[in-house]
Amino acid sequence: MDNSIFVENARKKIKEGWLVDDLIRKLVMLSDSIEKSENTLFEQLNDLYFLYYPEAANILKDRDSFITSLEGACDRTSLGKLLGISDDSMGYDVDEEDIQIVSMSVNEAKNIADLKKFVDERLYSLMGEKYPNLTGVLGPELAARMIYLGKKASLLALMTSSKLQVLGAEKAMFAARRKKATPKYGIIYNHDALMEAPEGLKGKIAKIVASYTSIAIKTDVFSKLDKSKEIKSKMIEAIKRVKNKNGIKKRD
Amino acid sequence: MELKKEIDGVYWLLNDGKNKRTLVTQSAYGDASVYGEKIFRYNNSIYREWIPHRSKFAAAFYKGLTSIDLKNSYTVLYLGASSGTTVSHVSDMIGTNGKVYAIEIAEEMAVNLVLLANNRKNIFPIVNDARKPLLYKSSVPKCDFLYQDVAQRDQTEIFIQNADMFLKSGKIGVFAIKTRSIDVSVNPKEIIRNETNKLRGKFDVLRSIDLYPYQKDHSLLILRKK
Repeated sequence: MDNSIFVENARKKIKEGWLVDDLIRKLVMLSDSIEKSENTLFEQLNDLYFLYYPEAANILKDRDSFITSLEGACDRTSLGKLLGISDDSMGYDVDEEDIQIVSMSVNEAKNIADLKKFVDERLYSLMGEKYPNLTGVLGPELAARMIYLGKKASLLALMTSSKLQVLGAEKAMFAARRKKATPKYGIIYNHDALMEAPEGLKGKIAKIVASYTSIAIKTDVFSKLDKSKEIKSKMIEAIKRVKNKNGIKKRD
Repeated sequence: MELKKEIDGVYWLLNDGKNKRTLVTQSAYGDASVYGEKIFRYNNSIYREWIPHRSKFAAAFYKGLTSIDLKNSYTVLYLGASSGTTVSHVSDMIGTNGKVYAIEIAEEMAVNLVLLANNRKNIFPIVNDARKPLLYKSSVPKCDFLYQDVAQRDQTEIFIQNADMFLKSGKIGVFAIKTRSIDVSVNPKEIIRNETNKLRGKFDVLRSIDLYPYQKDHSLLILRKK
């Protein structure tokens, strides 16, 4: 018997099996690895430049300012003028080729930064289009990361909100089998409401955010209606209530 | 170089001088390397290296498995085929007259499996969930050999279900247990004892092989259906 029928069926099934979640997962991974290579490239580049012009490399520790300053010219005279420092340096006098390497690397770093921006924009627009409720509650970056961790939106929708709350803190969760304290939050920690929350209330607010995340993802997967504004306003209200109840005045 | 036959299609390649042996399978489909393994030629035959770090079945041979009832032109059901690393060697062992039905659920892995099946005509890929054998019951016949490597919490139940439905009586089932995916907090030895107890009613447990150091937290059970 020939296996061509099986191959054909399997091909069809694979083709139909893909979801938009797979694309989102890959884009999140791509964005992460771009960021990683961006950082290593900048680190080494700054280190190389330090040899030639340590005074300038010391000022330009930040990636963006390093790239914008070195974009035009990398030699001491023009950069010293730009930064307003003396071009009489204690660095090693490198050759013309080495400066060329630096300028090429700066170009490359700029390209990588542009690529990252492009990938992220695509990812965020995809999230807003496909999962409006989840994006509304968590923001596009965190929402995409949530799907990355949960593998599929349909699996996320079936999780309890307490599971969503500690998603991404698996290591601490396993450690809690031996120690006593379970983690209060996983990836959800990066949510704006938790960032600005006072230390004592972070656990409570994480619980609220997780429960509204659960509602949002369920709405996205099952009813596919855009109720993001309603869910978000309810969540903000609930967070305010908790803050008031615990004797902390809201700032606004 | 010297060849020593272990079972149908599986050989030890002995290098005299050095105390080193390499597990190889006699390739049934040409000299193409499937996943980057080495290819050996000996007496006009082509042999593919079977790496114990990549395949649990190969690790079992390195850990002392000597004979197993897997012969030429057997029909094999393989659950959890993944990208087809071990499947390609099983397809070598059963030869062009045999059949291996490879079940895999994840699309990303199944792509490689389908590409492999394009070249190796004795691999029958099925993209389906091994938890639901009824879904592929119509396309898979009774089998002479069952291999399972799914690393799921309920993998013992999956194995029993599939063996009930597809494995012929008196034939061998090979069951790769990943103790970490069943329960992380319990002692691995205890897990294996519990799982073998679950299997005892329907199978004779012939051997249990710990695959350390080739595979971490994995054991291979050789079972015979009653």
